[in-house]
Formats: sequence, C-alpha cells, structure tokens
Amino acid sequence: MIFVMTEEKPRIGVFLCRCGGNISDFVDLEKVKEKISKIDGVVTVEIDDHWCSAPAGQKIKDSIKKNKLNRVIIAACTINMHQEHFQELLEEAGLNPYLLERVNVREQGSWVHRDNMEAATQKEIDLVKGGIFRARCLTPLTPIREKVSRNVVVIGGGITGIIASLELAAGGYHVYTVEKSPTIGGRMAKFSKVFPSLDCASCILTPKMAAMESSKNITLLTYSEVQEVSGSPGNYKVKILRKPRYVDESKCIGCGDCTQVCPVKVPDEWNSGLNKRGAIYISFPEAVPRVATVDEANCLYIKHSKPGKPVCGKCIEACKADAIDFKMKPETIEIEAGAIIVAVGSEVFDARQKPELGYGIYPNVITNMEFERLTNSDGPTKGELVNPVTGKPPKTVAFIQCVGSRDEKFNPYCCRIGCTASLKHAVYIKDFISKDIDIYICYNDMRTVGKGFEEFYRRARDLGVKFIRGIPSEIKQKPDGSLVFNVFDATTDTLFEVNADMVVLAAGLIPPKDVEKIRETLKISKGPDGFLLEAHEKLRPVETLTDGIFVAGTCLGPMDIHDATAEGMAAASKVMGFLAAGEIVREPIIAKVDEDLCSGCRMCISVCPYDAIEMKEREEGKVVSSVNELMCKGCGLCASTCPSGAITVQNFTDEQLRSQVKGILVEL
Amino acid sequence: MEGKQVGLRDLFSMQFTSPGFSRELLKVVGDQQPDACFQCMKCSSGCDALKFQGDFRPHQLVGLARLGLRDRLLNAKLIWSCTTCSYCREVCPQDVSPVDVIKALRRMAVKEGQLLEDHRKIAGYLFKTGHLVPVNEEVMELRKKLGLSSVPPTTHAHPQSLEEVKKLLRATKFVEIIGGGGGSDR
Repeated sequence: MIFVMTEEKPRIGVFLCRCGGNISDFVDLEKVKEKISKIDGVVTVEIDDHWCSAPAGQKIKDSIKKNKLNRVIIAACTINMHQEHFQELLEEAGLNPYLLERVNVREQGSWVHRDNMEAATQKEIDLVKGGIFRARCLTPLTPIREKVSRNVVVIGGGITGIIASLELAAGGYHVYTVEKSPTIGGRMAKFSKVFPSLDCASCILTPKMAAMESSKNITLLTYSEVQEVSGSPGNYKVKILRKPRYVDESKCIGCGDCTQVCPVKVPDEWNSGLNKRGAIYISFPEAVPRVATVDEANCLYIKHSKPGKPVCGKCIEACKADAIDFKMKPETIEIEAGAIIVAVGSEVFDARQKPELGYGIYPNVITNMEFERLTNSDGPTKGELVNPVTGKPPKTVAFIQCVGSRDEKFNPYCCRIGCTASLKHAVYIKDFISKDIDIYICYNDMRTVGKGFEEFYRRARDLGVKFIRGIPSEIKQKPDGSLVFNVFDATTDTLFEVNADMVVLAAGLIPPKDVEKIRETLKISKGPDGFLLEAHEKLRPVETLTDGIFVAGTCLGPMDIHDATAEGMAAASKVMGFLAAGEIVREPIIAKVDEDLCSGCRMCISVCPYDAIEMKEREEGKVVSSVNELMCKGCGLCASTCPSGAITVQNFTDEQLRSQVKGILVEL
Repeated sequence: MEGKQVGLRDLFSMQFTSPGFSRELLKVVGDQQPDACFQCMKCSSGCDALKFQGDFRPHQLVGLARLGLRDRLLNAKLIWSCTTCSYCREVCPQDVSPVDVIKALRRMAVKEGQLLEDHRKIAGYLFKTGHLVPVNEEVMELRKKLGLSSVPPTTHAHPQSLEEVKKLLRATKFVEIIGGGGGSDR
C-alpha cells in the first residue's frame, strides 16, 4: 500500500471567505455556514473578509491549534492564488501542508452566478460538501528532493547567450556555451551602431566576447550543436556535436595567412553575401575564438583529394602554426547539466519573398542587415556607404518599413526593431555621412517603444528625415539604374513618386530555421507566430513548462538588444534560483505505480506528455513502469489510461475523487 | 521634364519637391518646426477654421511643408483660410506651431506675388489711404457722437504722412507685390 491512512478521526475546519464582497455579495455565507456545520467531522466554520490577509492567517493557525484540526478547508478563490501561503500556514501550525483542501467558490461560484443568489448559495454549499468529503481522505505527503548539477548549458552564443553565460559564470556556475557558428557574437556582432545612442556595436560587444573566452567558468563550444537532451531537471544529460572545423583550436593563432592563400571564392554570409570569402575563413577580426574554420562544402582539398593524391592544400603550406588538420572527424560529447538556457536567436525575413519590392532583382535595393554591413568598418566597403549599382555614395535613400511584418501573408506580428533600426540608419547617414543626403522613410506606424527611442525619432525629424505615412506597392528601376516608386501619404492625402539611388528594406525577424528540431530536443512549445513559447508571457517570461529549461532572447520573438540582454540576465537569475540550494524540491503530486498491479503494457508511456515514464525490470524478470519523480507533472493521463488501475496520482486518488463527488451529491 | 528629377515628386501637381523647404520656412518666421511634426492631427481636431471650411487642414499644410511641396503650398488659397487664432500652437505636442508655419507660408507667397485678389484690393487701401480699413462717413459720425475728432490722428489727419507711408511701401517693394497702388474706393 502506497498511501498511509491517518488513523485519527478527521477534525475539519472550514474557512469561508467573503473576498471583500466578491463572494459574499452573491452568496449567503451565513446559510452556507449553518448547513455545513452539521456535517460529520466539521469542528468549526469561520467567515472572514480575506483569509489571505496576515491577521486572518493568524486566525487560521490559532483555530488549528485551539480546535485540534487535522484537515483545513479554505473556500475562496482558485487554487492558483495563495496556495503556497495557505500551505505554509498549515506547516506553521504543525500540520502537513497536503492536508489542506481548497474549494474554488469565486471563479466557479459567485463570479459566474451573480444573478441568482439562491442558486449560487446552494452551489457553494455543494462544492464545500465535496471538499469536506474529499478532505477526509487526504493523506500527508512529503515533497520530493534531489541533488542537482551546478553545470549549465547555454545554447546560443549571441548577445542573449553571452550575457546569460557571463552572469552564471560570475555566480560560480560552470557554463558550457554552445554556438553553431564558428564564432560567438550573433547578429549583434554584425551591427555597425546600436540605437538609440549610436555607440558602436562592437565597442560594447567585443569586451563581453573576450570575457567569454577568458572566464574560467565558461567552456566555449563553437561550431557545435546540441543533438540530444535526456535526464531530468537538475540532472540533464546533453549530447553535443562538435563539427570538424579542420583547424586545431589550440594551435591556430588567428593570423589569417591561410585565408589569404585559399583559391576558393564563395559569398561571405557574414557580409550578407556582399563580398566573397575563401573556403577557409575567419568571420571577422574580433571573432571569438579567433580561429580559422574550413567550409567543408566548398574546400577543394576535402572535395577532390583522393588517397595519396591531395588536391590544393595551400592553407596547410601557409599555416605557420601547423594547425590545419584535415583528418578531423565530427565528435560527440556529453555534458551533465542542472539547467539549460535556450537562446538560439532568430533569422531575418528573406525580402526576396516580396518580389514587388525588388530585393534580389535590383542590387541597389538592400536590406537593413546589408546596410549594417555597408556601414561597418569591418564590412565589405570598410564602412563606406556606396550605391551597389554606381559604386558611389547615394544622394537619396528611401527606407521601406514592415517588410514581411504586419503582413497576414507572411508575419502577422510587428518586428519591433524595424522602426528604430531605420531611424538609426537615417540618423547615421545624416550624422556620419552627409546632411545633404535626402532620406525618406515610408512607414505604417512609427513604433518607437523603448527608453530614449521617441527622443531618437524626434532627433531624426529634426535632422530633416522625411516621413511618408504609406508603403509603396512596387519598386521599379529606371534606365539609369536608379529606383522609383509611388507611395500615397495618408497625412497629406497626396500621391508621391519617390526617386531614390538606394532603397533599404526593414526586414523583420522570423523564428530560427531549426525551431522544430529545438522544440523536439528540448520539449518546448511554440506560439502561433512560430517562435518558442514562454511558460507565461507576463509572469514567467524566461521559463518553459519543463523545469530546468529556460528560454531567452529573440527565439521567443523579435526584441532589441536591451530586451535580449535583460532576458539573458533574467534566465541566468532563474537558473541560479533553480540550482542554488544544491537540490530541488518538487510537489509530491505525481503519479505512483503499484508494481504488483502493473502488467507492463506500456500504455502509460504512450500517453505521457513529459516522457516521465520508463520501463524497469523487477527482480523476478517482470518489466514494470516507473515514474521519474522529477519529470512527472501529475497530469494524471497515465492514471486514467492504465487498464490495470496500477497508477495513482498522489493527492488525486480515486478514493479522494469519488469521495468528493459523493460529497457534492449527498443531501443534507 | 522640369527641375530636379531626384527625390520626391507630387504626382497630383507633377512638381518635384524641395527637401530643404522647411528650413527655408524657418528662416522666414523662425518660431515653428514643421520637420518635427509627426502628424498627430491635434491641430486639425481643434481648428475652428476647419469647422467652417472643411478642406482647410492645418496638419496637411504642415505635412506638405515638411515634405517640401513649395509650389503647391504657395499657390494654395487655403493658406489664407487660417484665422491665426493660435489654438494649434497651444495644443501642439511637438512645438511645431502650425499657425506660424502658415504665417511663414503667407509671407513667402506674398513675396512671390501670390496673394488673393481681395487681399490685393485691401492692400491697395493701405497705399492709397494709409489704412487697410479707411474711416468712412459712418465712422466719422460715430466719432463725433463720442466727442472725438471726425478723423483719427493718422494719415487721415496728416496727409503729408501718407506720402511717408507710400515711400515706405515703395521702398519695401510692397507696391510691386500688390500690383501698383490700386484698390477701389469704398
């Protein structure tokens, strides 16, 4: 027998709440009290305005002691409110906290029966009766405790992952930061300036990247991907694939000599394909680790060498450090981690999907990311903004907002960064290039939500940036290569023709490409927008529904650097809170298997949404199901599925539920 | 095609705009900031002139000024519909002051000889009499009743001063703008 029944006779105290009129305005509590006082085992019935208040809490504790209560019923609001507080009151009064029964007579009573006091009163009587009957069968339970690992895996080496890793490292945790690219830094490392202060992106990012490399508490795993996650909260096992970069990280000194001799030329993804790189490359000068990587899909040596007949190999000759190793193989490592932070970031919307805007057709229609590279001193033009058609600086630049965003055909959501990014680019042109360049921004709504952003918008207007409240439907190229489009401005009720040398498209953010793989590996939900889903959009913004797995940054939805940083810190702080005690404590409301009854049919395994059940071998060779206490959420699917009745959810036993139903139906 | 063929063109008037027009306006009045306007339209929401003449919309005049539609604005009769009550200046959240934009537009329009025929006539009285609204028989009677001299101590009483006024009006080229010292008798 799993459950030990208490021998003593139930002595039940019922505490009816007025909820400041929320309940008592619609329910006759005196009548409820009169009716239920007669039920066998009820020792006291008390009424208060707010049982959740501190003085009322003292009254509950006093009543438990005075009346020697061994069951407490609070008939008030939903169990989602104040549950821990009430459980603590029981503990403080010397009672097991699981001898508390909550009856929701507000959401399920007074609030939905405002027009009929008599019926609402009868319903409260019935619900409380059910609670009393169920309370008689409650048993004391003990919370589950397990030791946890102090390692943390952070997936993603963008600004969110970097900040989260550094915070955890500072807190004394060992962090494994997994980045799929050859360098950490993410999208922020490609930016020229950041809004609204227009300080240089790399000036604020590279010190953080360097700190990642020098921290003793951080193990950087670049060019690596998480493949599999198993185990349970506090003790996850994370399998990580280390892709071969064909360069020994410990030997390479990052001199870049190999990149100079490579004869291959392929579009450089770091610069949005605006220039070419070799098949061995270092993404940018401040890359961390500053180590070359061989692009195996394009390397002649890898593609064409035959045993005994190497092809090319110029990089091997050029490398003074003897770091190039074409014998490298993919390697899988396994790390034990107490918690995981998912900060895998997002992708930029592909503006080619809107061919009417001309991106991918006219070279002088560029995206906002390309603008970043064209104005970045590490970029393909060394920071000089030039018209890709003429090779000269532009005289007129037009920005088109909401490309792919707020568009039911593509992304219904607002990209949240496009407005301020275009303002940044416009102010950059006026401040750093020339005040004489005419700038037009065609927008739907100018959304500048953020500290200092509205002032930044004003600054752009003061600098003479022209705003047109409307979006063009089509961009065309003129014979001289310049661009022209019509746009209707709602504010002046005028149809305009804009003639521009260059058009910059404010492409928004979309979910990461491998979002499905991430979801599957880590058991995270996604929202209707395709981004990963937090446990609660307001109150649990960096948690998932799986304990020990946290999410942060733009994989949750578009956000700016400020928000991504804040989320990285929040996730780190949640991880520390989760692991700091060295053990985790879980509610014992979980499934229990009666091994004598289990037939080993595995139906429970097929229904468990949390992968919390596995089969184990009993001594006599019989296979029975076994619930992982830390992964079980107590949803009860297995218990209701089990054909042998072998599984019970603690605190929701068949006996307790039947008794509750009986209580509701019994006539007084 | 005429003018500069880059930048912004109004496809209603087929005119290219002058992106620096709002700066030009600033030099005329110097107390308004059309560039700062983000088109909240508070000015038009509260405009009394708009209630009587629906196509007079201060926010649109500011918007057109901001985008540099110089010719369209200076030719517009609408800029003369403003009562210059300055309500818009009071309520503007961005210190744009549409009324001062309109005043600046009027000055520039007048300088280019773009003024309404009625205004031209009234301005003729200034040249002819030294008054925009000269004192007529009725007013003279009224003044006498109040114990005042029949004409005020202005150019009416001092015809030699009228010559000085005319001199000033010629020197400032006002006479040229209003097309000579016309103006019909009342």
